[in-house]
Amino acid sequence: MTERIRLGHKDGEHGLWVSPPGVDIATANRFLLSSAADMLKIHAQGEYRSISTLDDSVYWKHEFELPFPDLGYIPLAIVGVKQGNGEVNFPPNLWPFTQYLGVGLGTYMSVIGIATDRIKVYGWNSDKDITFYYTVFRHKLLDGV
Amino acid sequence: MVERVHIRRNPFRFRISKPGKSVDSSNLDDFIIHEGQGVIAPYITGTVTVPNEGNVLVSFGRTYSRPALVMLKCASGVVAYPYQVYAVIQPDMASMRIYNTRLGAAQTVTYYVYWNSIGGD
Repeated sequence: MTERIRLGHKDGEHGLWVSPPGVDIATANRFLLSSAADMLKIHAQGEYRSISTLDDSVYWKHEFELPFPDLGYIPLAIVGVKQGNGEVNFPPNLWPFTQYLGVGLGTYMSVIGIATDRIKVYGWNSDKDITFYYTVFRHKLLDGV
Repeated sequence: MVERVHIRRNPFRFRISKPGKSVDSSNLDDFIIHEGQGVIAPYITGTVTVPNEGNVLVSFGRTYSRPALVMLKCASGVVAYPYQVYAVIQPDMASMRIYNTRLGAAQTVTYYVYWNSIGGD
């Protein structure tokens, strides 16, 4: 029977380890949980339904903020978008919010900004009603400004 | 030497601090795991060969209420990127298709699907 949870001593360190199913702690080269390395920690997450009220006859403008408790630094964050067909792309991308208007007319560019206490989303899409999903991790990308 | 693992029933505590940091710290940034905050949990992983200009369907084995958190890694060193090597979570929220486009060759892709959703479980 494999040993999958160890609270105690391993390779000269004291700590806690949990190995994947069927893999013994003593021979594991990756862990579900290990006190020897950091974990991706969740600071905030949620979903936001954006129903646009402003359009230019072709595209709807979506602009909103997703606030979270101030971390004092700019964190790693992910924003996902459920498109009209119900699909969600990974990596999340801004492509559905970047609209080419035609030769000589330019392009609507979308922006997702991350501050120490909020995510800001700004973009254009042919759908008026869009659901966004987000997760903010307790991991620093940049010092806060 | 600081105490780095603290498990207690009353009051409940389940903490592992970073090397050199005490489990008594009041700063959540000092912890690898803390009973007051969640972490992402690996759920399934595997490796597939995605044909050039093709895709492979991967079932999650469960249905998510919100989009699963997914990560991809290519053996060739190509970084997962939209409309190159990327995953599309299907509308059933129970599977994804991994696509390989514009690269001109089959790609060996390792995927990681987490128990967590983007947006919370």
